[in-house]
Amino acid sequence: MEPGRLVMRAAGLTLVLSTAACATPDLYSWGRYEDSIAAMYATSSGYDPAAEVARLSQQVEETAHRGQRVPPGLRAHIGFLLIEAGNAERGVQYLRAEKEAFPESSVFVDGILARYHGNEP
Amino acid sequence: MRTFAWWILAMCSAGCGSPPPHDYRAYLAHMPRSILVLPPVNDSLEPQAPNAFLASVTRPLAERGYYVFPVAVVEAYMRQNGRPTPADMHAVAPSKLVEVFGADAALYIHIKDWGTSYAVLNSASRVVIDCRLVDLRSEALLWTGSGMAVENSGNGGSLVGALASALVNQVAASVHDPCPALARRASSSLFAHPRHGLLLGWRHPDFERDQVAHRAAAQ
Repeated sequence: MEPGRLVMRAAGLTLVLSTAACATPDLYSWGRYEDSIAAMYATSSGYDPAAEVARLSQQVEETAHRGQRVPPGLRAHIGFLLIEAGNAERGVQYLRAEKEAFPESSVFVDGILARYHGNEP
Repeated sequence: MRTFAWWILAMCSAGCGSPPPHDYRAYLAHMPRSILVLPPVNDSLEPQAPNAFLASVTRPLAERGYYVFPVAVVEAYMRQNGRPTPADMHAVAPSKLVEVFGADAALYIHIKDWGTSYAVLNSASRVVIDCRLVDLRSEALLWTGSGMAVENSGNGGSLVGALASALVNQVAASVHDPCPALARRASSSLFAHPRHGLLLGWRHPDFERDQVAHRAAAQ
């Protein structure tokens, strides 16, 4: 295959993929939530919880600022990282925000609050 | 380099062949609002498979309109509470999962195959997953599905070129593992399959329409 044809083929494929992606807009603004989870479990990534909390909490703020939706679980994820790092006060704020945005999380969030914060709902 | 790659994305719901449309009656009767994704049980030979997959399963589920519990928090929480492995987590009684998480349904995932095999002329990466969605209150099986994604890196030219490209692919794959991307494709295509996929959840804008269509079809 000539290089020119390869480029054309690649361009065609990219076009197909991008139009497919545009067909249905996402419900949520995902940012680096998935990458952050993957990095948590990667054996050689040098995962830094404090840096992840900083990036993810900034993402949540920016998402809200743009009027887009924060994905389910992300606020609880940040809250859990904060509590694990000893910052219970900020962590509890994120957990409560998860519950407010997604009442489906109430039972679990209340359980975490009771367990890690000694704070019955 | 005269190489090219192509995707084969094949899917089938349990049983394979050319299956009839999924029977959604139990699913419609126990329509879940929230899904608890338990860490996948790994039946493949690649130890890193489950966690790489766990990271990519939230998005396709949430985009179909379900509340998805934070997977890493759930994993850590269960590990800290005496359930060290995914198999231990899968063995927890559904009633206990309702009590602890308040979840409507749980998604049980098995990774059946995950990896890249190298031959002289090409290399093939393959990811195969099995999923079961269970209503946690009635323990009814709502949905099952198997997804597979394959990426072949082959060569259209001479044998010498083919040998060179197999070597390059092997080096490239050891640097950049294609399997997480394949897993993402396998799961999102499986969940979104028009005849065998998950029903739309109540947070999806087309939820009502989807419910009406499937209720009519189930009559």
